[in-house]
Amino acid sequence: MKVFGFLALFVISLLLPAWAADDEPLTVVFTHENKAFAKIIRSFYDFSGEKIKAQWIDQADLKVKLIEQTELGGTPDVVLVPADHLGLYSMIKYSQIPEKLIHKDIEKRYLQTVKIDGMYYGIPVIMGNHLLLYYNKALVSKPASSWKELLETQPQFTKQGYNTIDWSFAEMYWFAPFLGAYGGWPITDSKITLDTPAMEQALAFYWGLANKGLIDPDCNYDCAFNNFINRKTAYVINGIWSYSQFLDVHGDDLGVALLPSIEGKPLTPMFSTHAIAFPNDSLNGAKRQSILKFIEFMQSDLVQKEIWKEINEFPVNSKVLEEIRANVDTNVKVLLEQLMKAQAMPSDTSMAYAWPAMSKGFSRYGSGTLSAKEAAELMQHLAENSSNNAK
Amino acid sequence: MYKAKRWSYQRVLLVFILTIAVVPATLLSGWLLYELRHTAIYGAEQSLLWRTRNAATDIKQLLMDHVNKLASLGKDNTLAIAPSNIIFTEQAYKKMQGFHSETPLFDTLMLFDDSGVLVEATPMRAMRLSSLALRDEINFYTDSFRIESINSPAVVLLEDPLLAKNLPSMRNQVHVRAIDYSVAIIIPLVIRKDKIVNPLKLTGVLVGLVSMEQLLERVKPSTPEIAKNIYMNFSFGDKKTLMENNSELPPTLMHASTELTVDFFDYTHGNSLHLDVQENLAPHLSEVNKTMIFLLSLVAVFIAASLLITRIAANYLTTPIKKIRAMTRSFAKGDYTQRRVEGNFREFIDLAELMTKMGQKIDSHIREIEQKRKNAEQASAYKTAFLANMSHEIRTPMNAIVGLSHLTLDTPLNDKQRKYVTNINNASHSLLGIINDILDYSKIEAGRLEIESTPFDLTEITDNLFGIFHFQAHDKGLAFSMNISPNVPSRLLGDPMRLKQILINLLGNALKFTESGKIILGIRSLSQPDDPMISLEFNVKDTGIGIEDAQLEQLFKPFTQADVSTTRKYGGTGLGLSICKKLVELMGGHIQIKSTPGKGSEFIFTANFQADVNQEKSSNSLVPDLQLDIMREHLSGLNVLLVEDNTINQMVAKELLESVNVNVSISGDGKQALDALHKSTFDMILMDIQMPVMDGFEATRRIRDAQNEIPIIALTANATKDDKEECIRVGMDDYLSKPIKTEELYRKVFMYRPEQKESHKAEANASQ
Repeated sequence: MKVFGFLALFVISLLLPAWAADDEPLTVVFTHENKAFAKIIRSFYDFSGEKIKAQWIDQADLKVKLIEQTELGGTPDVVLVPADHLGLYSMIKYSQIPEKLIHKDIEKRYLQTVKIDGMYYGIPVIMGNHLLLYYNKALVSKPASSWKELLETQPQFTKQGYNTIDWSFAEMYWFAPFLGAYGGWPITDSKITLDTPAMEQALAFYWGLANKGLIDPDCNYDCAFNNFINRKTAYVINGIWSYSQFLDVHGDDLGVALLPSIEGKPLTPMFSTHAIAFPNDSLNGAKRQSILKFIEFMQSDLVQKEIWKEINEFPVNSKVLEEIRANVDTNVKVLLEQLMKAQAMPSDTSMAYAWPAMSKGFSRYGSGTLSAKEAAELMQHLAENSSNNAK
Repeated sequence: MYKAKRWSYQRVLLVFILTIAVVPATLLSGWLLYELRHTAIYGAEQSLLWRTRNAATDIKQLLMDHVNKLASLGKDNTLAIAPSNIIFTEQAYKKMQGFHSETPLFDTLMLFDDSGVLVEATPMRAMRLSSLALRDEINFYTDSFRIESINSPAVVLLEDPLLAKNLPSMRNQVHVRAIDYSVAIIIPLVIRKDKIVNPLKLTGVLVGLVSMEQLLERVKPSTPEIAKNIYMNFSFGDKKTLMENNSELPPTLMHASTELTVDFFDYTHGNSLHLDVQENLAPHLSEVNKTMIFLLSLVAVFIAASLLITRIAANYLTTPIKKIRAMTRSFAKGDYTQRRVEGNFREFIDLAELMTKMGQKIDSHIREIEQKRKNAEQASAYKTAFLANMSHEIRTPMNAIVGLSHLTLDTPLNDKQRKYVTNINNASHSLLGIINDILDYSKIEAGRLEIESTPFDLTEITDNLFGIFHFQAHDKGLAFSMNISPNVPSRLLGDPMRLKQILINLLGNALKFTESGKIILGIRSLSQPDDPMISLEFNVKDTGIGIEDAQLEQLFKPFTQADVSTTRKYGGTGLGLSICKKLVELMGGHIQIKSTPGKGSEFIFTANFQADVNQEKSSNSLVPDLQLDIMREHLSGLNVLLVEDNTINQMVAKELLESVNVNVSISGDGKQALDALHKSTFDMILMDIQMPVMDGFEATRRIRDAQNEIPIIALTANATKDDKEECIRVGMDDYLSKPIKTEELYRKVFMYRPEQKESHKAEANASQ
């Protein structure tokens, strides 16, 4: 990752001079895990005849880079990022987007993800991003609907040499649905709400799964992804963005189910949108016309359909989505059903601090350094401290 | 004699040489060895001191380098912002991680925000670290009021056992255990703001915990051979040792300590941190030890060589002394033969030559004395031989005189003739006594007088003496009595002849010197009944003229009598008492005299005998004490061969035997006797010893060789014991001394007459 980060910096540094000139290609950086997204972006040239440069960067790195480069003028023209990035609008100086530039067929629900302090700082392109329970039908005849069931099946899978379930345990995006199950949420009414009993309960339950051996806490995203691809695990919790890749591998053996509930309390995954945004107020910069064309391009029915078609992500255009819903199989219907149960990821600025703050408290609780209460308090402190410092 | 214990010359020489050569050499070697070792140890200590200082410098340099490195990291904008903006923590973490992987001296990197809350740490498990000491330090640095003054790195020593113990680098350490301390490099994290006033904002601190063990590892010698002997440690204030080395330390260790002063070191308690280095001394001494062993070997060889040379030299020096000592020992043993003494020292050669000359002189004197002694002995022997020969030569004519006078008295004589012949006979007997005394004395002088040990009956002797002296005393008008104690045994082993000789001499003297009164012979035993040795005391007391006290001392000296006038009045040789004294002494006794002039004398002597356990009578007892007449009757008709070369003796013996009707045949020597035996038969032979052609011994041997058991009685003028033993040894049955005493002749012939011999044999067989 480090090498990749440096490479990204290097690429950005190469692009910087080009962004400054009118005849330079439009630079787009995206963080979507599905690298096929680059293909869609690059088709902008076919759409507009304008040059475009698309570059994938890890979203965590991108945040830092954007903050660092904003002052230096080294930011790309467009970023396609999860909507929670937009919380850093003041630091990255995202352009405020007039409502007129937003497609009318995008549901309000999704627009909420890019609306901060009453202003839009991004235009959603993809919606979903929520987590699902994938399973291998060759190993699982009927998917578990609760963690209790999963725990009960664990001995059997262990005996057969399979992992019961994998997911990127240490990532807070995966932890958030458990917090939601206990009624907690990182941001409530634009305030950081991490030091809550729900957080303490969620931490205890979540780490309890690891302590019971159901999940390997050291298994990261790639580990979990590869284990499922390689049929080493029966279940995996992953985002909707992985659906097409899993389908390619497992075909009819791929099963999709709602996330297991905790004693009847359904998990609440976050849903989000991937939105295009314009750092360092590029929308009002030298490449405004190109950017406007790119906005039109990304909201066009063509791209919205390609999004489903190429990367099996749900487009934000409700009409296009309806067309898709009418023609999908059971799995996709489950995808959509889970989406309906998901809760929008806060796009407040504070959310940007809440994520790493949660991570810190999460790891210290897991390592035994802090109690659940102390961990929750640390989360709150770190997030608030950063938030306050940012003001 | 007490002999003082003194050292030998050689030993003194040895000690002397050792003292002046070996001892100084040994002391010098010891001093050299000490210096060598001392220098080696000093060198090793200096080396260790420099090593310690270098290591301390390296540690300081390392710390400074790492302070600078960490300060550089702290200036990174991401890290500076991260404590205040958690979004940057991931990026900051990665930078910290990258930095940590490149700077392994840092055990842990920790990022604290301005509230002292640990935001990030690498390695991840360091998130668990919790330290009040560290928190205090961080709080000190994050105090906003100090931001201006603390805008520089600091190195602090944290006393926190828990922190030290839980440092990630300590997890796998087995041989080293951190005790209480950790070194923390604290870098304030500051962001600049575009403000004129308070442009700096402290966002937090970056802390690098340096493993003290790693510090030591980094400055340890790179050469494993050296490193394995080095033991490094830290000490701080009164906490002598910050780390505990569990590995077994060698017994000999050097120690050096250097203060670790770094300008920006901020030791919270004002004490200094010291680097303590211990090093095994042994490797430094290995070469020295080899040298010492070599030197000691050299010294040992030198000492051994010195001892050897000293010994050789001592031998070389003492050889002449030993030779002289050997010479003196030879002298002491009486060996004065001339020797050649060789040597290397003039003084000793001179001494040896002087001693040789002295020896020669002494030898000459001794030889001279020896020669004189031999001459004297020879003269004495000649005298003895002369006396013996004279005795023999005198006895032969005396035999004729005695025998013929005896025979003459048996012939018809007128009174005057009988008186003359009687006087001749008495005079010849006196002369015979004198001759016997002279002979005995000559034997005593020659040391040839010996005492026999034969069974005898004391009663026979006393009876015999009584028979002799009773009548003589009666004739002189004296009374003679014997007082023999009942405890005196009669059967004894001893020399009856010599005892009788002593008593006859003493009684004879008493008879001689007593004119009136009485003579008493007393005998008593001094021994207990069970004593094997019987000591008898004999007492001859008279009422004679007595002896003056002044004369008593001279009484037992030879050729001495009490008074010169005595000889004239009483006659005698003056040898009798002297012989008695010798005989008594030979019998294990002593003789003394008590005398009162005019009243009488008392001679008392003791003699030792052995009890005759056989209680048998001596052969003499077989001969009954018969009257001469009765014996003559039994001798009549015997055929006796007389072997005698002397015609007078032939005549005397023949006349004596024929007077009792014995038939006598005469042979002039042994050879003639053998011839006679071939021709005729005889009842016995009377055999002279010294004869021409064939002596009596040879003749007897031949007779016995011819299995002839005829009784042979020797007739010898040599009355020595050896002669008698030789007679018996060659096969003779008995012997008679010349001059022949008539009664003894008849008694012997009577004893060996054929019927008596048969009686002898019958008794002998009966007793078996």
